[in-house]
Amino acid sequence: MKWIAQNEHFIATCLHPNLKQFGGNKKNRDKAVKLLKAEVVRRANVGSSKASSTSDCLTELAFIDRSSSSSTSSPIDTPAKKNIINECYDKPKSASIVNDEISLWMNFTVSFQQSSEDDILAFWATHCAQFPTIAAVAREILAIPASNTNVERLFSAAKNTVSDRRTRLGASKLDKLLFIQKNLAKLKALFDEQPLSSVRYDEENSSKRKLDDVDSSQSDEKVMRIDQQIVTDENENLILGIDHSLF
Amino acid sequence: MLFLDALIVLPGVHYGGVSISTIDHRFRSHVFLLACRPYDLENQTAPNVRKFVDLILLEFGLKLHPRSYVVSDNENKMKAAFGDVVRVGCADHYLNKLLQHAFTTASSDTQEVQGLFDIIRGLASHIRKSHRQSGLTRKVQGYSETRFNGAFHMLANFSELYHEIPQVLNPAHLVDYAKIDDNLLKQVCEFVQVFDEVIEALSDDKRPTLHRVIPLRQLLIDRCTLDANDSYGLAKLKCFLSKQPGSLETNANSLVRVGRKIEKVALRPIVSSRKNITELRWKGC
Repeated sequence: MKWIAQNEHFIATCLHPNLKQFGGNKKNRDKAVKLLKAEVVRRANVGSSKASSTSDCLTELAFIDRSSSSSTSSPIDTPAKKNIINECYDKPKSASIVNDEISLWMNFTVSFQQSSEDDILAFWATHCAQFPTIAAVAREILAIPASNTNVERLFSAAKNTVSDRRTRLGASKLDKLLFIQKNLAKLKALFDEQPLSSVRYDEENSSKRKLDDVDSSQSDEKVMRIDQQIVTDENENLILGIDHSLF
Repeated sequence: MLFLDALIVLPGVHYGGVSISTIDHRFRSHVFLLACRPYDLENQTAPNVRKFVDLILLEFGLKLHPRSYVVSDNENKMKAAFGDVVRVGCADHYLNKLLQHAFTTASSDTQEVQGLFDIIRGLASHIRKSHRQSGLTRKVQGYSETRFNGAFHMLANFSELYHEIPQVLNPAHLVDYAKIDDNLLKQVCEFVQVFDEVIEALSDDKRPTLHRVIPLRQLLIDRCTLDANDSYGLAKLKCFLSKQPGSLETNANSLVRVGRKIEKVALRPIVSSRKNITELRWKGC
């Protein structure tokens, strides 16, 4: 089993302001720049053919339209219209513009904050307007973790949950407990940011419920159901699609 | 961006876990758990592993796309299961397997270090079962295959307790204890510690880590450079880990190789603090 650096590793290294020169290793740097260029060109081509300007990395996961009340129109219904509309869209960025942005990025020097945080996301949040296409690539590539220790920690949490006092804990309940344990705080923080109009309230269940009051069949449905309405406004945040009635 | 893994939690029961991560338009990272449930398919072949994951995604209205990214461990079945998407290997898994092979596999040509490891593992296992371990200032750690860099943790712990250990051993084990090369033990612990720091740096789940892989990998390769003060066992360990060409003949030859290597080195990543390996920058930039 060999530890070989993949294309995504090269692109990610090239996206860091202090690591993009690869320590003088010209071969690695050129490879990374070539890969970054290919990604930028691919985005420029994809962006011109899409109906919306969303650049959420999870749009690469195809969403299955199960809801009949979905507000998104099916592309299968009107293929002819789509072609006509496509002709009106902006043409993809020319190769020279892409090269300019990448050249600017590779020559860009900044005193990146030398702290223990290594907060590359804060850097890109500040500079996304300056390098918009590369920032979009950064959003996608930097979401990839170097290792899957997140899931390893999940198993550790599962072992702690199935303790000596809870040996009869069922697998389904364990799944739900871990789901809530890992996701509750983040989803609550995200929902707290939402304006009132975008959140559906269940008036009957608006009061805080105790665990004993929750019917198991209802809890099954609520844990598993994910709202399909994906907001495509400027937020472009998949999290908005999660059913608030989990809480 | 999906991460997934499988592990035995209860005897005979395999569990699978799936998480998903994204970065929003404000460049904030979000990681969510999708499922941690028993793997209930008839076998763990690649198609079934893929089916298991697809069913979980389907519950959330998702499915994998050729441009989807999946991080999983590097077993062949995982590679086969996600061959049609962009699969990124787990860096910590590679490192852990590398160290595991170095310390436990007979064909690794690291007999000195393996001999040291075997003795200490046996002694640690014995001490952990003995009531006399209460006389030690801290608990002895055993070797755990499932813990990343488990060998380092056991060796480092033993090295700290090295002078206290004889008081809790019986005469039979004292013979094994006498075979331990304390100098080699200290050198190995100091050398492998950097692997532990790299594993920690790549395990951060609060911040992006993919950009750290290539620089830290290079850092580890550079740490495997032979040094004049290295003992024979450590030098062989370094050769195995870095896959340097040729074999060790004498210390003199190794010094010549070290000298030549230094001449070829132009720029190397340096770490500003040993305690914080995330402060990484390329020398000269």
